[in-house]
This record gives sequence, structure tokens and C-alpha cells, in this order.
Amino acid sequence: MPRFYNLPEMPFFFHLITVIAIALPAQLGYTFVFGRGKILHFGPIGVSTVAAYGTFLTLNATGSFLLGLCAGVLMALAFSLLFAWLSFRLDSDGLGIMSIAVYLALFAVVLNWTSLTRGALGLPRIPRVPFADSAMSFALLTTGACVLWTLFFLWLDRTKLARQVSALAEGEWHAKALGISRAGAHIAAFVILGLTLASDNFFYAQYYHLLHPSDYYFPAFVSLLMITVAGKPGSTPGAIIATILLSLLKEGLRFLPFPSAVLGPLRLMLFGIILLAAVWIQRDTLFPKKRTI
Amino acid sequence: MKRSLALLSLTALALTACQPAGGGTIKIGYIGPLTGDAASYGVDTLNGVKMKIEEINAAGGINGRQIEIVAEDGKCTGSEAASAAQKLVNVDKVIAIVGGQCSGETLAAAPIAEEGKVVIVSPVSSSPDVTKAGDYVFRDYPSDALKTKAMAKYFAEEKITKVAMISENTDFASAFRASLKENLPADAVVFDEVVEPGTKDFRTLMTRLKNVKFDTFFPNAQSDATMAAMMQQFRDQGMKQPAISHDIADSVTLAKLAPEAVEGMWVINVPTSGQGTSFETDFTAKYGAAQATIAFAAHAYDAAGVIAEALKAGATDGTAIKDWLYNMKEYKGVVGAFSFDRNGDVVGVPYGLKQFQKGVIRQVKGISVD
Repeated sequence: MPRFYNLPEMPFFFHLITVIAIALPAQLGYTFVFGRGKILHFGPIGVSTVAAYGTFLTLNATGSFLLGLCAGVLMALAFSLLFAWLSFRLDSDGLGIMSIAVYLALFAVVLNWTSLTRGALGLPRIPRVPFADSAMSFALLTTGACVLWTLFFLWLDRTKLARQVSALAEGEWHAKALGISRAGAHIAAFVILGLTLASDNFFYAQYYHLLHPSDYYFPAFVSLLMITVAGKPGSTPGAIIATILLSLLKEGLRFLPFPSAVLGPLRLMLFGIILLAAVWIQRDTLFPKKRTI
Repeated sequence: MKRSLALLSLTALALTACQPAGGGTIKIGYIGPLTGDAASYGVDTLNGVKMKIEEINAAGGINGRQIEIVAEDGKCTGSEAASAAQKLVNVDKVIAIVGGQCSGETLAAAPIAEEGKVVIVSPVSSSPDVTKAGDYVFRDYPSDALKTKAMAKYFAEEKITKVAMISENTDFASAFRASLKENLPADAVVFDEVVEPGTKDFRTLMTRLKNVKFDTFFPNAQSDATMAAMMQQFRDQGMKQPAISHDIADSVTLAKLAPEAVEGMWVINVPTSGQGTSFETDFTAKYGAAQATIAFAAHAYDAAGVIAEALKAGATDGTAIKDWLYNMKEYKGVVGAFSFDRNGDVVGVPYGLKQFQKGVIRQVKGISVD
């Protein structure tokens, strides 16, 4: 039966805004590390996992959001530094494999240390910060944080650090000859990514009132990677546009008037095809082209 | 590239800016896993809801108004279920929701429903955490906290003192393991191993298990496929001890995956409501055989049924439906006569001891829990 359509209600817009605002900073952070730096860091979801559990276990124990945020940031920083250390000790492909191994180890700890994390049960009834308990106030809060992060990354794109990270991606030995420190640039890049992950995860579980390990399975990383590629690796505006559009598309596909029996599978297939098409279009930008004279 | 981007933008914005208009129908939402490993539960429960609503509509609807189902895929995850709940509550403006099915879905959808004052009735969620999910959250499927009591009672009656358990590390199986251990004597579980979700190779564990003295094997899996692999490899090692399990084993698919291994296996679960009744006949005629169990369809059918009863009684919004459900004396549905306690948990649904007999799951006797 044909349907008629009109504009959605505000709370759903707040939901869309919140979903995008929560996802975007980490997407920008990963675009900086993987897209611009071509660093095969496959462990950001591991950092997210420890940041999220650090935050909300501390919150549950102390009742303080500030302490929870500090704990999450500290956890994210500690493991970001670990990944950075690995990145300047390993070749690119070696880092890729090692970062997956570290992620799996972190995830295994979270999933199996049941006396602390409740394991596969997750942490239900996560409260929101008292001043942002409604859909609108939470959307405003996450949007505010997202805008600050976005401005930071737009500024970062024009800094010496961004040029150093790009130079290291294009030719490490050439960059080194110019006096660029791989260790310094990588530490800065990983720390920035870690802070965005801590920020995202501070909001994510609050929004859903639930911290569940199933949200930190490896496919979550695949989405992060695909959106980075779809937005043109290394491009901050591209990552912003790709995150917004793909998030809207994912939610928007719910509105297609399919029969309920085929709704779920068809929605996922369509999203997969569109994502593949976006990645295919950007395939040549995945790795830097060798410069020729 | 720019054209592709523009096209993608337009598609995304157009899709998101659309919402179905209600018209004169009453909308009831549905959230469940329509894709992924748990899709068989989702398909059965959605069909159960559809069947009830079609019957009501065929009989003239409620106070002359037809009911429309708006189904959303929760994919058995919290974030997807939360997005689905946002759409159902804030865009579709449903009056109530049947769902989620997986407990993670229900827990994530609950705060959104609570904020929007929309009642949720879950037909399958069994996690003890759902009990405290909120005032607007109900379920007509009992909590695992109660089911493990039934299981412990059965073990005591049958003088089963040594239990060997292998658990998949998922929310359902972990909650069940913890709850069962709470209800058994401290030294009852003599073998207690946890495996990663989706594990299919248990040969090393089975080799170790062979050297342990135990009375019964408890395969504690989250999916048919994992349960089948556990049972197959348990029997492959030549172990003859009886095996007993829960909801996941109460699946006809298991008899297809590992027919010889599960033969004789015991199951403690809610009764296979609807089995062998006109409900199953009608259901099968409309949608084919249940993919997991007809009981899931029956619980979903009744979940839609209690919401419809509240609407018939004059409830016109979520708060009125909630109040009506808390005060409901008894609803006679396919799963039996039941009501809800002050937490929204079902009261009155009993348990049954079942067994795989020649490829069919048959109820052997009922088990009451005080």
C-alpha cells in the first residue's frame, strides 16, 4: 500500500544529530592516523573498549562523571601510547597484525574479567550527565563536543604536525632526512586519536544507557575503516561528509516502505552495496602514489 | 565523484526526511533480530505478532480502527535496537512496542520507550537485568533467574549432584551460568569452562571432560549451531551421561543439525506453548513451520494480545496501557493464563521438562517454581 510522507519529529532529528556527533570525532581521528598517516592501526576499537570500561566502571564505583571521564582518558592515552610505541618499532604490515592482536587481547580481558566488567552481560542503566538528560540537551552537548573536535581537526590539517605525518606516509626516509621525527609525529597522532576515542565513548554508552561488549566487536572497526576510505583517506572535510551521509543513509534506509519480512536483510544489503560503491570510487586514494619527476 | 556525492547526499537526506504518515490506524511497533545469527527468533516472533494483529483487524479492529505493525530490525544489538526505538517512538508514534527479543535489544530500547512513555512488551527477553529496565517495560517470558531455580529444583529431585558445564561467552549464556551457579550447591559444578562466542571446536575441552566424574552435561550455548557442535563432540568422545539445557536447546533446528547427538537430550524451558494446537496449525498455514520454536511465536502473539486488550479496555496512550497492564488480573493466551508483577515480569508461566524423542521435542512433565 502506498504511503504518504511528512517531516519527522524533532526527537528523531536529535537522535540523528547525536549519532553523528558521537561518531564523528573518532572518525576524524582515524582519518588523521590511517587516512593521512597511512598507519595501519587496526586497534582503535581496543582503545575504545578500555576507555569506555574505564569511564563507566569508575563512574559506577565513584558516582563522579569527572572521575569517570579522567579514567577513560587515562586508559585511552595509555593504550594509544602503547600502539604508538608499537608503530615505531614495527613495519606497517607488522603493526597491522600486532594491533589486531592487542585489540583481541584487550577485548578478551574485558569479556572474561566478569567480576569487574560483568563480561558479556555488559553494564546496564548507565546514567547520563545530569545537565543533559533529555534528548535535546544530550544532542546539544554531543554536538558542542563534536564542533570543537571538528574545528580542532580543521586547524590540525594546516599545522606542521599534519605535514610531518603526510611526509612520513609518502616516504619515511625522505622525511627523516628532512629532520622529521617518526616517533614524535606518531605519538602525537596516536594520542589525538586516543582522545577522540575517549570522547566518543564517554558519550556513546550514556546515550544508549548501556555499555555492551557487542558494540566493540571487530565489525565496529570495519565501519570506521570503510567510512574513512569512503570520505577520501586523509581528508577531514571528506570524513565529515562521509560520516554524516552514511549515518543518515543507514538510518534513512529504515524508512523504505518494504514489507517487514524483507526489511532487515534488504536494508543491510543496500547499505553494504552503497558502502562498497563509495569505497570503490575512492580506491585509488588508499595509498599514496609515488611521485615522479 | 562530485556527482556521486551529490546523489548519495540526496538519497540520504530524502530517506531520512521521510516518515510514514499515520492516518486512522493504531500503530504498534516491533523490534527484533530480522538479520544475523538470531534472525530465526525474530522471524518467529514477528510472525506471531502479525498473526494476532491480522486476526484483530479481520474482526473489525479496535473500536473500529485497524492496527498497523511497524517492524524494525534490532539485529540483536543494543545500538541498532536503540535506533529502531527512536524511530518507532518519535517518528512512527507507535502506541506500544512488542520487543526487543534479545535482552540487549530490550535493555537499549527501554530508556527511549520510558522517555517517550511507550510501553514495551518483550516476548523472549529473559535476562534478569530486564526486571529493572523501567516502569514501561513488560515481558511475557520469564526471567532466567526463575528458570535456573526450576533447573536447580529438578537437579535436586533427580539427585544430580555433579554438573559439567561449557558456556558460550555471550550475554544470555553468561547470565544463565551465573544464575544457575547461584542456585546450585557450591560444589555442584565440577567442570565449568567458558568459550568465545561462536566457538565450534570443543574437542580439547571434551578430552578433558572425559577425565572428570559428573552426572550430567550442561551445554550452555547461545545459538543452535554452537549447541549442536557441543553435543556432537560430546557424544563423539563416547560420553554417555545425560545432557540437559535451556531455551536454546528447545529448537527443532537442533534435531536437524545433530540428530543422533541430541537424541534423548533433556530441556528445561517454558512449555512449548501452541505446539499441537490450532494456533500451530494456523501459524504453519500462514507462515510455514516456526524457524526456532512455535513457543516464541506464541509468546509474541500474546504480547500483542495484551496490548490489544489494553486498547480495547479504553487505554489511549502509553501511560494508560502501562497502568492497565499492571492492574491486569489475568490474560488467557496461547502460553497460558498470566499477569505481570510490579516489575513488569510475567507471573503464571510454568516450566516444563522436555526431551528429544526421535527427532521431536516432547514435554515429559511440568516443573513448578514457588
